[in-house]
Amino acid sequence: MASESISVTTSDDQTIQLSRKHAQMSQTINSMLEDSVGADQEAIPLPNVSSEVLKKVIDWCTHHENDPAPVEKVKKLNKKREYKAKNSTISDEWDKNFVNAELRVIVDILLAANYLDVKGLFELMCKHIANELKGKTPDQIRERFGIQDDLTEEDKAAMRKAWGATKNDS
Amino acid sequence: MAMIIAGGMKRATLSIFQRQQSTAMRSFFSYFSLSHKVHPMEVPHCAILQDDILFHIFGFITESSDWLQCMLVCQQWYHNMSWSVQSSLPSKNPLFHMAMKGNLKATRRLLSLPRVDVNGQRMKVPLAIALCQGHDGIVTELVRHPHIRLESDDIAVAVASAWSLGKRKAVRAYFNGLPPRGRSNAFFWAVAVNQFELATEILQQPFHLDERERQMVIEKVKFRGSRSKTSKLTKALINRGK
Repeated sequence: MASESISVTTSDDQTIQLSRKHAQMSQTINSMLEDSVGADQEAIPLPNVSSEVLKKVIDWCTHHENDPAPVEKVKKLNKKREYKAKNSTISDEWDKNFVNAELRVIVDILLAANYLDVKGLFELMCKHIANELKGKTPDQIRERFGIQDDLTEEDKAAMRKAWGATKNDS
Repeated sequence: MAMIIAGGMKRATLSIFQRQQSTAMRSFFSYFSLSHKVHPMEVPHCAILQDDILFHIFGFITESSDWLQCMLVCQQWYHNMSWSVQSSLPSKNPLFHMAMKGNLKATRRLLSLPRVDVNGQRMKVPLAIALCQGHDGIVTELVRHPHIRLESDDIAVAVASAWSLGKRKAVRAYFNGLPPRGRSNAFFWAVAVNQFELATEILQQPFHLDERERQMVIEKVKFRGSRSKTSKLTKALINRGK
């Protein structure tokens, strides 16, 4: 019989125990577990995730452990809202508090959610970053994300012409 | 038995190794593909967002003004944002969203893009949304668009709903943009479903209604609904005959 907890080793060599239910919310860990059925229960190495970030991921999984699986959720939503664009509103109060962190931490969690393939958490982090970008100028975005401007003035003029406002627009 | 277990372990180890190696390689290349853009002293860590992650983030940005701001950040963001926008256009989701939010500027821009197929049946959805939200500017833009062909029957229920919701300006904008034949169809539909107030409104618009049709409608209205509800329409029909 499979044990109820799983050991994982993080990038900073910490061994963390997490419940099988939480571990299975990560498609990456889940497929590793399926692959290693019958093998010795060694700690699963997660070299791309630090212990600090993994704890955050576990916190999120604990709060959302009873949520319906993402596929079921989409099917339910599609009955009513099939033609709506992607909604970036974060409705859960707990989630709002969860994303209220430094950008560095948010990006770390986003990368971890992508690596671990935790769909709900990945969506939440993407929504939060998208909300961060809304209403900001390119300069503000570059400053916030530490990106260097590598576009020429000609490139920018062409983009403004193709996507910018026209005089007749109200 | 031991061989099976050993085989399982080997497969698992190999699988984990391959997964880690591919992720490590992805991170390695994405770091170097971005490192030239990042100020060395400023949190370069935040800038390591791979293309697939950026694409996903941009999927949540629906305002066209924000699209442009993101495109103007750098080459990588420009390519990902334009890819994200272009790939969502055939589904018309941005158009639905803009029609719902009443963003006239973005609606015009989307309608002018060649990848937005304005000839399909699904065009009635943004129009229905704009009508029910009362965005008369968007309704005018959609109805007057030279390539959008809409029969009044396609959208009749949305027009009636908008009217009952009090979105009078949007409904008038819709009838102003309709050809006379469409108004005539809408008028007979409104009478048939007892939408007398809406029928009275349509009657203010120019369309062909011959004497025989006028008399027929007057007779029909007599037997439908209470007098208070039908009197305005009857008066309007009588005035039209003068």
